[in-house]
Amino acid sequence: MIYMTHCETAYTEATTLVHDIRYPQHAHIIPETFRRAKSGMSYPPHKLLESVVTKEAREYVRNNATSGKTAFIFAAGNQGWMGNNGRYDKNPEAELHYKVKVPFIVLTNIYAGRIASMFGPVDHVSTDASACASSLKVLMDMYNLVTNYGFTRVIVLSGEDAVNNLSLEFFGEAGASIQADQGMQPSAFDEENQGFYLGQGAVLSIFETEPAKQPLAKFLGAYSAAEDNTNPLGQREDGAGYSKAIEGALWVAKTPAASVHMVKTHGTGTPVNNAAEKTALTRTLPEFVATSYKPRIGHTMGASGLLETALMLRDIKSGKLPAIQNRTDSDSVFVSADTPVQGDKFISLAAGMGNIYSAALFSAEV
Amino acid sequence: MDFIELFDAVVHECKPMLDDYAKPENLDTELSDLGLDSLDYVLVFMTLGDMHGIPEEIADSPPELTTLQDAKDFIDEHKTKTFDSVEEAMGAVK
Repeated sequence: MIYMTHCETAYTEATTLVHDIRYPQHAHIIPETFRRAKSGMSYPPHKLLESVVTKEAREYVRNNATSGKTAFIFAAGNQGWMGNNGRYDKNPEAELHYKVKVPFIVLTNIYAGRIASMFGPVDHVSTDASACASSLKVLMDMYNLVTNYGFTRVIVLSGEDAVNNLSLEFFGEAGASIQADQGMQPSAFDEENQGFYLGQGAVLSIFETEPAKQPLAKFLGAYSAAEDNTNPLGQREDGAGYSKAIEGALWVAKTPAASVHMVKTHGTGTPVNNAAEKTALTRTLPEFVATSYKPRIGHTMGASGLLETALMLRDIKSGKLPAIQNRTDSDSVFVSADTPVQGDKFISLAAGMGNIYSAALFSAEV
Repeated sequence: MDFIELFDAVVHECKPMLDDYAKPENLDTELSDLGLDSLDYVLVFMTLGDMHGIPEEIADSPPELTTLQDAKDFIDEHKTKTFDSVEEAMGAVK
């Protein structure tokens, strides 16, 4: 059995209006991470990521030996976002503009190795760039390391450069993130409020077979799938990719679909994702309730899958599945009101550009 | 301005986790004894160079620096900006 024994998160529910770009929009920003970033003295995602690599987590790993091997996986989403790259404005006076002095260490294997070393000796370091599916996608890799390669502990760190002028302009131009003048609120599976704000977020989790403390959850299985698509940036509305990921995770976990009653959706709220995810879930799970955390904390991109899973676990332990914020209609499946927890198992979903769909199955009962 | 205090302030901004870092006791402290890795050095000295207005072509090719005194001497020799206090120097970094 694989347990999640540690989970540190960083995110904010507060939003800030980023006004000095071509597509003004709100974003969930942690101002401290941008301190001295204009000079290149620090890189905002590093400050964010390092806030979850806590002393407690480092000491837990260093002080509690495990009988097998230890791995460190850095799920970095799309490693190419950097605030002063790309074809968009490069105004150095813009509020979020920052300098990247040493791009080879920003969100790369070098950075992964550097952070991994903070935990003491590790036997394997890898990075993942599966866009917004990254932090759930690597759970399939984690399972593989444990099952087939003799690893008994896998540390997963995830975070992406989700909020910078480039990412805001890109998602704004694509019509995915909600613009300041649209008069819309972020929500998911809603007829009126469609789309998301971008958000900074990071998560550190430790998965292991020999927990030295009370585990937070049981990990049951994970799967990452691709589906034919002529648009590598987009999704299929028929939900085929999500279906494959869900069915794969259930198969790995040897768990019948009828025993899973709660879902943490990817839940970006875009019309295409609403259709795709709803269709896939309705097709694969006989009875469920589902929520989305993106309306609350923003789309933290690569970190979102695992970060939102951590929030879901906390909510389940408090006995409620939280309502999807800003729903304008009543819905008891994609819940518009807080709903009592149903059973102990839940499935987490994520999707990423590049035709990537991931699912992971957990039990809150340990 | 106390160079040790400035160096320490820059390290605190640039280095992730300070578990292995030991603040230098004096200017004779060898840089290799501070618990900094190679990337820490790059970031710390780039920042000190920028802060003091050292031209990039000089800052990018420093001589071999062994002690903190060597680092201070290098900066003093090439700097185009001076500060009265650590706070002023750190405040000059956006």
